[in-house]
Amino acid sequence: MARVEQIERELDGPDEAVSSLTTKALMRRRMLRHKGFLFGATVLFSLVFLAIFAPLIAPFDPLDQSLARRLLPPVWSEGGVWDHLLGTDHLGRDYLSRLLYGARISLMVGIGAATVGLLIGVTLGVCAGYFGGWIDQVVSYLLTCQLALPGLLLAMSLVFLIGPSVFVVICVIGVLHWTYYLVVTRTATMQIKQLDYISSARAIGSSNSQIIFYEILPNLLNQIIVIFTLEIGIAILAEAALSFLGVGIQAPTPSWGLMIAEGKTAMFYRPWLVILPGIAIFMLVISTNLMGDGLRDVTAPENRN
Amino acid sequence: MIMEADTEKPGAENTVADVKQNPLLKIENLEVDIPTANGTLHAVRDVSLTLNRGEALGIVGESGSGKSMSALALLGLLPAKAQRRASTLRLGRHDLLSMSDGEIAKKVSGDRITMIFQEPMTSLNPVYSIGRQLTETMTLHGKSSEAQARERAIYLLGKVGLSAAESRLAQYPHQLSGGQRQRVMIAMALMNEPELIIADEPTTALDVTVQAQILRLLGDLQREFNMAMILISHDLGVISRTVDKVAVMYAGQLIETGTVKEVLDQPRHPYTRGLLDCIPEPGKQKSARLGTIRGLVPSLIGETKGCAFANRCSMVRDDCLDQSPPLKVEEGEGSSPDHSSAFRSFRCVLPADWVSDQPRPAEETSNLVNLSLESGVGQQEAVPLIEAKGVSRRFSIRRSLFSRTETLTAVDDVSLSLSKGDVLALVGESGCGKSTLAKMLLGLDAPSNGEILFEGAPLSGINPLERTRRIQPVFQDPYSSLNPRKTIGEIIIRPLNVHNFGEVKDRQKEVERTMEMVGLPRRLFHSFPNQISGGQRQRVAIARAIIMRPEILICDEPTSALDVSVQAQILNLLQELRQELGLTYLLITHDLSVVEYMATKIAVMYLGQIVELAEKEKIFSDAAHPYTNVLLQSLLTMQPGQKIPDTGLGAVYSNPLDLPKGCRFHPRCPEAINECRLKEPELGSLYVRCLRHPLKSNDVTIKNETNFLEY
Repeated sequence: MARVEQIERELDGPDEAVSSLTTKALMRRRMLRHKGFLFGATVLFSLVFLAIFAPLIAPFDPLDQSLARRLLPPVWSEGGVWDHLLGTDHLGRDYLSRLLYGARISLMVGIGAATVGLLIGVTLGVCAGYFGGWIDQVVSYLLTCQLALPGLLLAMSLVFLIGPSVFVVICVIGVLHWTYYLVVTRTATMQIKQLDYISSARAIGSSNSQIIFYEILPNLLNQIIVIFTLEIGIAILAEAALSFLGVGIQAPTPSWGLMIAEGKTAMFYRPWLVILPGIAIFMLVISTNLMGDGLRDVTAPENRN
Repeated sequence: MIMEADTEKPGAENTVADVKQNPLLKIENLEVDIPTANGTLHAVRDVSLTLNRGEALGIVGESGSGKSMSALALLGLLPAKAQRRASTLRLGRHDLLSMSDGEIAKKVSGDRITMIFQEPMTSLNPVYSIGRQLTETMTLHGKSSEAQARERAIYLLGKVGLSAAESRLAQYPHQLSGGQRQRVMIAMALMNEPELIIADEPTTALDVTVQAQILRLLGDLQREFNMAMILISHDLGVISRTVDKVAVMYAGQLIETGTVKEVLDQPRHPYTRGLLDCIPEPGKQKSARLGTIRGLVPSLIGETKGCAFANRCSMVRDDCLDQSPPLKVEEGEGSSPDHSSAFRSFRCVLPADWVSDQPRPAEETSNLVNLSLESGVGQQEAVPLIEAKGVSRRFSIRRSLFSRTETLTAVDDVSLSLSKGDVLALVGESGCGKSTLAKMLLGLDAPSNGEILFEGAPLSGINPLERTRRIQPVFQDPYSSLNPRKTIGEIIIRPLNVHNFGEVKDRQKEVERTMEMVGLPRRLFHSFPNQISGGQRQRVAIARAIIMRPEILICDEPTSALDVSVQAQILNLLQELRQELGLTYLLITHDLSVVEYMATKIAVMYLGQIVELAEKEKIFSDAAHPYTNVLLQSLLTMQPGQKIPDTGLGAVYSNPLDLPKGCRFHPRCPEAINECRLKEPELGSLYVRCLRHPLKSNDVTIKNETNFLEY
């Protein structure tokens, strides 16, 4: 009868095959198995690392001109020198150093603008979804207006009016990129608001702000993180476009978009000047996108039975 | 009526010829495996069944027992990766085993076998008219022309009790009520004169009154068309009234089969017995706890050793753990000389007569023995704990920007009171205003008229924190009432944090104490809601509600989302807590058997009004209002072989936006007289809102349309 007794003991509490792994451990395991996420995260974090330690890694000052060594090709093509691994630009500045410093600008603008957009979009979205009524109507009207605006043109004119600087570029791009946050958080909030755990929270006396910050926002976190990473990519592209058009980051600050703009005059006989920053932008944006997609895959299947 | 003759003939011929030799449906050793990420899920294991023409078979079991999977296997509707194996799988002439899913879909399902699904709201396509969906099932199989199909559709819509059948064809699903849609589903299932009709929980989503009507209809049609029927249900009451034979499923296996009388009156398997004990039933237990089955359904993934029920069985022995007991066949009333259709069988090592030797299985250990339901009742105090006085709640509804505002009166002039220790059950169909009333009593919504008093003082004047400490809710769906992002511990401790109760370290202790009180193991403290079972979730919701030691719990359908055995555990828990903490309950439910078990007083609501309010005993023995009577008749208690009574309830749903003149219930009332159309009854001194109370037998009742009219 020993085994029967053992069963009796196991039955003390109604038990189920509770996974031995915690949610965090499960998430970690899923992340490590997701190839896209791994690739994105690796590339992104290396770029972040390079950007942060650019002053230590960069072989030259990115602003140092040396007209004698202008327009050197990268080391692997004919005429390249080992001093300048990726060659020099039309003013003889070391291209590798400029790319490394450019990563700082791109990441700063990307993360900064995505954060500005997040604050605007999530605030509006949660308020519209939670309170409904006229607040929702006003916010929806704002959204419609925003979607009707030609983003890049507006950004250009705004930067032009205020005067270009990194800070202004971050704010302008951020202010123009909050619609994704709004649409997603508004719908999700409306859905969550219907659920009984919100009624329960109200029934234990939670205030509106307690409900929003304790019950609703944690449930939106996954979606917000995913949009955030995607928005970083969009903001980086927007910055590159603005800089290319001359109303973003101003010379001589190294910015990838600006580098492409400067390189385009020499594009036909020195294609590297355009291709290298192009590759850099591509890698950064695709890595943030892959990481965003991966995060969505890893976190979204909230396996509710 | 040429159609009628046409439809009944083939069925009649078949029965005479075939029944004797071979059954209509023969399943032998059916197995369904579903590969999952964690291993193979054995959803159905070794199921053998036979079914003759004109017979109705009920399959009973808890969720996850493989009931639906067995049915879907017949129709070739299994999930994409599932594998089906059997030694015989035959329907009449068709050998389903040799057919691919595609062939089954083409030749058998929708034609020879049809299925009625649970959710009438989603099983009809909203963008096509009823007529198109009905005729399509027939023309799709290429057996008839559009005109013939149309004629049959009209004929069948009449058969399922829909009036003005011809004009119905042009209607769309959203124009019909839930019961009407289920009737359309039944008509659709009958279009091709199927030999077998499978109804998977056909009435679970419907109101009790409608459930009784639909089941009655289904049974009548099954006999009239001489079809075989498989009724899948978790509700033993439903099963006992509608089928001839029963198969009990557990963990993918058939564990007991027999005629409905045999299985329900003399269960052989401990699980069947346990299930029967779980059901609260009028007159069955007056003061005892409900029986429960400990533990949970085992995981069906991977190989299992021994009896699947061993880990929950109160009769478990060592040999149960070693080998799976074979299905023992026994000669019973239902068995025929031919061995293949012998039906009485069970899968247990115990001898068939163990039940008579054994007392009821030992109950769950509990610190409360001999719980008496009567104590705590009747301590009438001068001031009731909570009281609603003439409470109304109206909503303004505007369909579009330019239409005029309409007023929906969800709750209309409701007065009731709860004294300490009361369990007031609020009963009524969906949409009658129960939940709106509950919201107002919780203080989450304010009445448009009238007032709610808490210990004599207006509820709206009480500080929200104070109010929420004393009145707490328990919601219906434990899956949506817990925040999926918070751990169990965080959820239960939350009220203390919001209210800033005591020292932080004391709060943790209080949580542990409350978890113990509701029967939650402490190790679940750091688990997330998606890692625990439905019953445990409901325990968490209860723990959260009682941690501040409230005085009133408002339970909105606390068990309707749970399995029978879990329902019994939760009801027991609620009873225990009531004793231990001196709680007062407002219990909102549509399930009268739960009411019978829990309540001390009952309030019956119809279209926003309370039509009767009385002590429980009074309602169950001598209900005064005709609607209460209808509700009581619709309660399908377990009475094997008994037919479902005709409640005489009219089928005209009154539009809440356009209430009928006179008594609100008169269009559906089986007892209505002419006066009822003209005069609105007041709530009488006995708390009955009916003109005919006390009943005078010489009044002439008006004939109500029992068919569905347009509304």
